[in-house]
Amino acid sequence: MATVMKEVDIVFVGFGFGSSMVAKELVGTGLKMVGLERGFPRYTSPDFQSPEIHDELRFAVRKAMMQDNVREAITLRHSPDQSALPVRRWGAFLPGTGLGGSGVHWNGQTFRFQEWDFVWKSRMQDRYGKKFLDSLDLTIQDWGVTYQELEPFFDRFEYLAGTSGKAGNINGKIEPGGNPFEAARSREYPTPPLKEQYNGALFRKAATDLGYHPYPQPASNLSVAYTNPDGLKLNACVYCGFCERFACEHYAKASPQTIALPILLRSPNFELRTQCQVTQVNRDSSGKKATGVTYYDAAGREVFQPASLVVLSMFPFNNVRMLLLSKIGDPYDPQTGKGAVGKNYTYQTVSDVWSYFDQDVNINPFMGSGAIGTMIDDFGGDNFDHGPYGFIGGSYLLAAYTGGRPIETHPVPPGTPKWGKGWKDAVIKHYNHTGHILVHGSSMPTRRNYLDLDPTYRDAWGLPLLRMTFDFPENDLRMNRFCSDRGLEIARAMPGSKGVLATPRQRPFDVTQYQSTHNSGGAIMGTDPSTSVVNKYLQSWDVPNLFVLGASAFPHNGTYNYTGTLMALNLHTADVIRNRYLKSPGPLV
Amino acid sequence: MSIISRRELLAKVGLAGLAVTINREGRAQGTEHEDPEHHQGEPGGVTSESAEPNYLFFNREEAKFIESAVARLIPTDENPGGIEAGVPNYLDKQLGGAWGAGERLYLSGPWQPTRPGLGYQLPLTPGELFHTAVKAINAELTTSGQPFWEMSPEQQDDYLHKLEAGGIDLNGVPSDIFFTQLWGMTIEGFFSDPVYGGNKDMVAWKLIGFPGAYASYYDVIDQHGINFHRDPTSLGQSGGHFMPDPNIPASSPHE
Amino acid sequence: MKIPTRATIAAALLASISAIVLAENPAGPNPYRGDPERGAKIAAWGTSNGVASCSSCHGYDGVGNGTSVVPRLAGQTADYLTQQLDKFAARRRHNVYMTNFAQRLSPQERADVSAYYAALRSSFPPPNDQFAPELFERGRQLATVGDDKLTVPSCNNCHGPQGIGESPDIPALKGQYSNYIVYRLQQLAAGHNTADLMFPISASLTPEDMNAVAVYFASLGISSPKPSNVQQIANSPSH
Repeated sequence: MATVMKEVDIVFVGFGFGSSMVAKELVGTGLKMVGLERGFPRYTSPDFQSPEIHDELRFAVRKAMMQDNVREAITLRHSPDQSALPVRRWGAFLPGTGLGGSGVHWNGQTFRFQEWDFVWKSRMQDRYGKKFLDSLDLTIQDWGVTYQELEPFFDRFEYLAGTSGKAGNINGKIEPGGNPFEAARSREYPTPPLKEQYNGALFRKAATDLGYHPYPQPASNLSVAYTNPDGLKLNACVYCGFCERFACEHYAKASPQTIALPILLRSPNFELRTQCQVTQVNRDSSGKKATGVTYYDAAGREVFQPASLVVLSMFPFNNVRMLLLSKIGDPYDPQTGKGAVGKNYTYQTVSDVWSYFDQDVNINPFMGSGAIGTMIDDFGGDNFDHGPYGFIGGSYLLAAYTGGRPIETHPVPPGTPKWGKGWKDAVIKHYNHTGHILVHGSSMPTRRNYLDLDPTYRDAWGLPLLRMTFDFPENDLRMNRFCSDRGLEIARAMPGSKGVLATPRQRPFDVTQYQSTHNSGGAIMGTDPSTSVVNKYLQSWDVPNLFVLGASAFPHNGTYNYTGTLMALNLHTADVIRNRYLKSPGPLV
Repeated sequence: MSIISRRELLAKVGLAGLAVTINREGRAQGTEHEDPEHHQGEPGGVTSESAEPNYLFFNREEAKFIESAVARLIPTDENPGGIEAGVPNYLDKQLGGAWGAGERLYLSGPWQPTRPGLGYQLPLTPGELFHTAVKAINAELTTSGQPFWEMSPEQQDDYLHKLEAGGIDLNGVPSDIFFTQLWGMTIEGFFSDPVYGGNKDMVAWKLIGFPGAYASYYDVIDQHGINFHRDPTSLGQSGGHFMPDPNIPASSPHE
Repeated sequence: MKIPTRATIAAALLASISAIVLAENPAGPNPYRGDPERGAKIAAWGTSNGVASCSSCHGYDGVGNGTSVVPRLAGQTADYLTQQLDKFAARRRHNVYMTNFAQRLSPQERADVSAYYAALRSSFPPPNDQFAPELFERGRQLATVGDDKLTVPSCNNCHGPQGIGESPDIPALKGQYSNYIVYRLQQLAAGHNTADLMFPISASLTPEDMNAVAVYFASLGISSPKPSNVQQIANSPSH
C-alpha cells in the first residue's frame, strides 16, 4: 500500500537542467513544487574538488556519473525485423544520473538551431522539391514553433548561463568574428569567447585560407567571472581539460548547481527529494488528467505524490519510456505508421579527422575546456545548396580538444600496429603532435527508427526496458561522408600537417564506441495530435496537465549540440505555464 | 634527499641497466615540492624493492600469463613498458574489485550471441571472463607442451594475434572478446592514475608528456606550441588522503 | 632535518653546482634558462644596475623573517618566480619596489635569480601568529572544499594539494607568511585587475575568511600545525 504524500502544485520527474531551470522560473509564484531525482544530491562544494574530480578512469572510462546499467539499461536493434539485445554497458551515449543530471557533466557547448530547423519539412520541400524529398524516405516534420517565438528564450538561457561567444548576426547585421550563418540574435553574448587552443588556431588558418568562416564555439564554461541576471556568480574557466563526464570544481560551468539550485533551495515552496525512482505517471479514470506520480524512495517504499501538474524532465528516451509505461498516448507502430509515442527517434551523426604534425609542433591537448573550439558552419544545416548532393542536413567542423586524457586520447597515424612496440612508439611520438577536427552533423528521422518497450528484458523494478530501434539512414551517411571530405581538406591545409586520417561514420550503428549523447525525439512536438505527442509548449495532447520537457520533443536533430535549443523550448514552456496555464489550466493549443 | 633523478627512479624499479632518456632540455626529472615526510600510497601493497605485486585475484599461473602477455602488449625497450608501469597489478586489483564483480554491467538474461555494433553479451563478469579465458589458454598451451611464458617473444606475439583474430573458443569465451578486454584494460593500467595500481610513478604520463591530475592552464593555454615541462601530478599527492573532508556532509549545505 | 646556515648554503651552491637540480626551462614568455650560481650572486649582492640584494628583504635562504609584507620565496618554482618578476617589470603586478628592481634586472638576470631561489630547500619557521582553532578550521574548509554559499571554490583546486602550487602560474601557499597572504588577498580584491582569476574569489572573502585561509596555509609548512591553547586538530590533511 503506497504512502500518499501531501498534494503539491507541480511535481518534476528527474531533476536535471530542464526541471531545475523551469522550476526556478516558477519561484515567486507561490506554487508548491517537488523535484524528484533518482540519483544522489551533490554540490560544487564540497562534492566537486580537484584533484579527485580529475580522475579519467573513474569518471570518463567507468562513467561514475552515468545511469547504472545494473538497475536500468536499454535494449538495441538496428531494424524492426531483428531482436534487440541489452546495452549492457554504455558506450555511444551516456545518460546521466544524480542531482543536476547531465547538466553537471556536459561540455557547455551552447548553440541555437537554425531558423529553418523549426520549419524543416516546409523549408526542404520549398527549396529542393517534393520529389527530391520523397526520394530520401525521411519522416521529417515542422516543429510547430518558430525561431522568432523562441529567440527571447535562447537569449534568456544564454544570459543566465553566461555563455561565452561572439555574435555573428545581430538583428540581421552580420558581425565580423562571429558565425555569419547563425540565426539572428537580438544582442551580443554575455561574455567574450574563450581563449583559442593551438589546435584551433591551426584550423582557423587553414579554414580561412580555404575561404570558410571560422568562429569561436559558444561556451557555457565561461571566459571571465560573471554575475547573471539572478545575481548568481560564475568564475572563469581555468582550462583544466576535464570537462565532459566531469563536474566543475571552479563554478565555471553553467549547471543546475551554479544557476538554478541556489535559488530553488532558498525558496520555502520548493522541496527536493533525491533517491526517488519514479515508475509511473498516474491518471484519473477519464485518462485525460494526471493525478500525480508513483515512485520508490531510497528504502524501496512505494510512494504516491499527488500533483496538479506533472512535468517529465528525464533523459530524452527515459521521458518516452515513462509515457509508454504509463500508457499515455498511442505507441508508434512502424508497420502502420500510426501512433506517435516513440516515433522519430534521432541521434547525431559524428566522425573524426586527424592531422599529424612534426615533433616540434606542441599541440598540448590537455589544456582544454568543454567548448573551446574553433569551428566553421559553412557545411552545417541548410547553409549550402544540397541539390547536387542527394542528401539534406549538414555538419559543423570543429577543432577542439576538450582535454588530452590519455586512456581515451592517444591518436596514432594509419598503419600503426594495434598493440606492441610499434603502437607504443607511435603513441609516444604522436600524443602531443596531432590535430583533431570533429565532424558533427544532423540526424534525420525515418519510419524504421523508433522507441518502444522491450518485450523481454526488465529493469530492477521489474519494468520493461526501453527498446531502441536505430541505424543511420543513408541520407545521414552521405551527408557525413561529404562533410568528412571537407574536414580532410582543412586538415591537409593545417600549417605543418604531414599526414591526415578521416574515419567517416559507417553502418551498423556501433553502441560500443562513444559518439554523442544527443539522443532525441520519441515524444515529438508538432501541430497535429496524430503525428506528435506534445504541442509547441511541450504540453501533452492526451493529458493537458502533463508537460514533457527537453530533446524528446525534437522531430529531427539538427547540426548542433542541442542543449541551447532544448533549454529555449523549456524556458518557453516555463513562461507559458507562469503566464497562461496557471490562470486557466487546460489545453493551450 | 627529496629529489631523485630519472636514473635513480629506474634503478628503483630494477632497470638501472637500461639507457636513460633525458628530455631535450637535459633536465633531470624530479618532484620539486615533495616534503620529506610525504609519500604516495599505492593499493595492492606493492613493495618498493621489487616490481612483483601481491596478487589477490590471479593465481600463480594466471599471473604468469598476464605478465608475459602485458610484456608483449606494451613492451619494455628504451622506454618503460607495461611491466614497469605495474599493469599486471592494476589488472589484478580491478578484476578483484567491484569492476571485476560486475559493477555497472546489466547482467540479466536471456543471453543471445552478440551482433556487430551491439557490444558485450556474455553472462560473465569481467573477473569471471578473465578466470575462464586465462585458465583455458593455460590449459591448452600446457597440453600442447609450451606454456605462454616459455615461448619466445615472436611466438608470444603470434599467439596474441591469433587470440585477437578470434575463432578460438576459450571455454565459452570467444578469444577476440577476451583479447579486447585484456587490451583495453592494459591501456587503462598504463595510463590511469597511479592510485589504481598501474602507471607506477607516472611512467606512462612522463613518456607522452601528460601533466596528470593537477590541471590549471589559464595562463599558458594561449602560448601556442609552448614546450610545457612540468612533472606530472597524481591523485595520491595529498599525503595519501585525497577525498574531501569526511566531516563535511555531502548534501544540502544550504540548510 | 638539519637547518643549513647561510654560509653553508653559499658554500654548497658555489662549490657543488652539479648537485643542484637544473632550473626548469621557463614555460612562460621569458625564454632564458636561469643559472642558480649567477642568481646566488644577485641575491647576495644585487647588481651594478642599482638592484638591491634580494637577501636584504627576502633573506639569502628565501625565508626572510615575516615582517612587513615580504613573502617567502623558497619553495616557489623558477618559472613562477620569473613570471612574477616579468609581471612586476611590466606593471601587471603592483609594487613600487619590486617594479623598480625587476625593471633593472635583465630577463636573463630575472631567470637566474629565480633559479637560485627555486633551488633552495629552506626550512619553515613556526608561524608568527597564534590563532583560534575555529579560525584554522574555517581556513581548512575554504582551502579544501570551498564554500557553496559564497560560490568560492577550494583554494586547493588551483593551488594544489596542501597548497604546493602549480607551476608556472600558481604559487605555492604552503608555509607562506599569513600577513603576506592577507595582504595579497586584499590587493587582489581591490580590483586593479578584474580579469585576474583571483579577483572574484578574493572579493568574496570577508576579512575573517582572509585571516582564516592565511593562518591555515601558514601552518602547513611544519608537519604538525599547533594552534595556540588547543589540542591537536584531528584529520588534518597535513599529517
